[in-house]
Amino acid sequence: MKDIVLKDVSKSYDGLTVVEGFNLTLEAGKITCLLGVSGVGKTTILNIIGGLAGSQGSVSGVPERISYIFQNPTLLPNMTVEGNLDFVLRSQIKDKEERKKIIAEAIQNVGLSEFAKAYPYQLSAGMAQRVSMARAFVYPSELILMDEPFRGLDVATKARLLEYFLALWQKSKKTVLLVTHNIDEAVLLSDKILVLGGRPARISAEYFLNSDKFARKLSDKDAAEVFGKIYDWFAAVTPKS
Amino acid sequence: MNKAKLKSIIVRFSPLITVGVFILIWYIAAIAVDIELILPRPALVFKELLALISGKTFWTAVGGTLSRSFTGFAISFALAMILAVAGFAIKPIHRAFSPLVIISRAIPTMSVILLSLIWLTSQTSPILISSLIMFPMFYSDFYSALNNIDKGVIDMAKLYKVGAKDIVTRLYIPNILPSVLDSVRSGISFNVKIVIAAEVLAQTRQSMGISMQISRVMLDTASLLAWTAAAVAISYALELIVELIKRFAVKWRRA
Amino acid sequence: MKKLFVAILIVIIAAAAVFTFAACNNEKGSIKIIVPDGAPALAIAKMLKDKPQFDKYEITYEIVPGAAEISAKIANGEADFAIAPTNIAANIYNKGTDIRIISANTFGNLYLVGTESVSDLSDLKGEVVYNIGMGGTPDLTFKYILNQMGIEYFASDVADETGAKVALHYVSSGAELIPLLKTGNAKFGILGEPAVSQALKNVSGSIRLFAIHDLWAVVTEGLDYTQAVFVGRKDAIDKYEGIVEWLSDLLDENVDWIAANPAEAQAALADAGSTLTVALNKQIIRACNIGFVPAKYAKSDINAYLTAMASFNAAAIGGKMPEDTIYYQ
Repeated sequence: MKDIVLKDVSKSYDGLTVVEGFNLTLEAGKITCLLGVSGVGKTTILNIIGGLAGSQGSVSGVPERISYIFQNPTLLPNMTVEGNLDFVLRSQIKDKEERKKIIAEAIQNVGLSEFAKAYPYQLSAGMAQRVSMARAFVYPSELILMDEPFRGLDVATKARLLEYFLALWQKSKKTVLLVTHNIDEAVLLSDKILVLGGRPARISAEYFLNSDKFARKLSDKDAAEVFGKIYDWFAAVTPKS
Repeated sequence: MNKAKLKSIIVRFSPLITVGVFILIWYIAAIAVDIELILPRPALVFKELLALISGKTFWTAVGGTLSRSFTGFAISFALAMILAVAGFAIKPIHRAFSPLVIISRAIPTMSVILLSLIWLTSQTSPILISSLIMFPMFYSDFYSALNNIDKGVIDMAKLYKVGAKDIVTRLYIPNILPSVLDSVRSGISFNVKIVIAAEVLAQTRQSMGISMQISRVMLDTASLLAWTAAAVAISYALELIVELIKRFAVKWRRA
Repeated sequence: MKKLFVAILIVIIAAAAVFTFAACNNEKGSIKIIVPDGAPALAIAKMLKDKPQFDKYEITYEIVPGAAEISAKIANGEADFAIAPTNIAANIYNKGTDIRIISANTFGNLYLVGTESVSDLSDLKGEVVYNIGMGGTPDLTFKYILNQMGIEYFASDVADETGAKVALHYVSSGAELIPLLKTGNAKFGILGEPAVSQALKNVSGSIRLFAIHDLWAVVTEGLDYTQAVFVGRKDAIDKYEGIVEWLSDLLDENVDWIAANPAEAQAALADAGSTLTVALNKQIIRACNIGFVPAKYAKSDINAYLTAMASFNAAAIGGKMPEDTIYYQ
């Protein structure tokens, strides 16, 4: 696994310059978060990394296979939980028995073993997102790109989802890019938080969190401090309109 | 038996009750009019129907009409599916073909029937007519079905580099199946109706249409109504079959 | 529960009332005489023009589109007298409407035309003959004639390659047949005047080959082809004393009048709403074969006609031969 490096990247849409001369490093095997308000350009950067958008400048280290987790769980309505995971694995792992084993384990890791044969219409939003996460981790990728995956979920559901996410991540330690505007997720999940602001977008602050993610709480001293600093920054910068 | 249970039984059988009421109204009206030529009694029609079913000509006629219906159905289904998929994949195709679809939808059924009599034989023109009428209905239904698939899911499949074969057989086909089957269900009985109408004008041999026409010419209203009842029963049976196929093939939705 | 029951009851009663109302329409002061559009309408052409009134009663004369309307209106009492195809008259009578056949009025306007000459009916073996209306009287008549002549036939639009049988194919109207003759898709077809004359005019090289009524006379040893008759409801005949004799005189004098005044006859039809577009002249009128033979003299010819039709499908005349009482004495 290599670091993913963006060097001097620029991108414009319809005459609007989203980023210019942008630099970014995603350290291999670490969870990096791009934190910013809606429209600042974080999704654009995610798309550039994923190869979904072109750009000027250099993008290196991006692996061949990438997993995605979006706000929309994007599950196939016509397949069970198992089937949904199988759908993305079929072309990657040819041996049926091995696939079954991997899928069963992943489903167990997100606590959905009882729902292995359930259809998406029978799942709650939180459960669907768990399946989406399981799918992202089960897919043989070295990078996971997440775009506001926990948006719209209540605190309790989100907290559980974060736990499941970390449980999955612990087993594989893939490189993760989390794009969000929620400071709580950023603080609880990330190794490095990059705060994005301005137009064109710039990294206005970098925070590192070294504590063990699995034991981390928002009330911890360093976590709370980072949370507070970021929040205050947004409150000060965001126009009072 | 308490009130709630009685009510639920009535609700369960309410379609049958409606049919019963309908036949009762028919019976009263037939007695009031009292002219067999104009409105025969239900019992007489039923007797005619039984007489029809036990004869061989009935089954050849039904077979003829059904085979023409299926052929027309198959043609329009295939054409509509091919064009809908092409139009969905390549938007300019959809735009290019939309005038054709609009024309075929707007053209009066009678025009189609009369024109096809000029160009085709009495045995084949009902097939053209049924295809022409069904095609626009199927095309717009199939196209919508494709468009209604969650685009996020399609994107996901591409991002996860799922194979093309799997995308077609596991994503597209199962997800358009409910709409397609709904469309087929309403199309199939409508189709039979149109084919019969065409058969009357085309004087198609061995058809339900010409049998109805002959009954009319013979002033045998009871027989005409019996044929009509048979046509209704057949349409209903076809719809039922499609509904059952749908129940069997589509388990992933709350009914 | 009670409300539902009451609601259903109301619906039933309302519907029954509507139907009864619709069926109850005999409250009219005038006498109505109807005739099908086409050659049969010529049988009352002078009456359509003069609109003669009987005694103090008003009479309306009307052209209706087809035989179906004739049977419905006579059956439900909307019309009192009509020119009707003979088999329809028997049919209505057998189905319970009390009518009387007063006279026979048309004696055959069907002709076999073709774009190729044949000298004998048997030359049609191995050919396709087009006819109008499967199961209708032109169809049954032609089949009867072929049977009597020992010529085999079968239903197909493709000729018999072995040349042993005649192929019979059907279209639903004369208007369809003419273009088919023109393009050569059809070589032989049976049409009724005045469509026959129209075909001969429009299709180059076409000739009138046989008159169906002549063939009929041959196979029945001299009988008239009593194609359409003048009928009246028994209740109207009884109510209006003397009307049968009065109408019979009018019908009789009409025969010569139309032969002498084709243009006026055409105008009379057009004014009454006929959709005939062919210009009528003396030959066409003659070919339409309008006549007048009172029932008691036409009886045996009519019975022979009905028997022949019934031999194919008793339903054509309503299930059985009507009793003699159908003929006005």
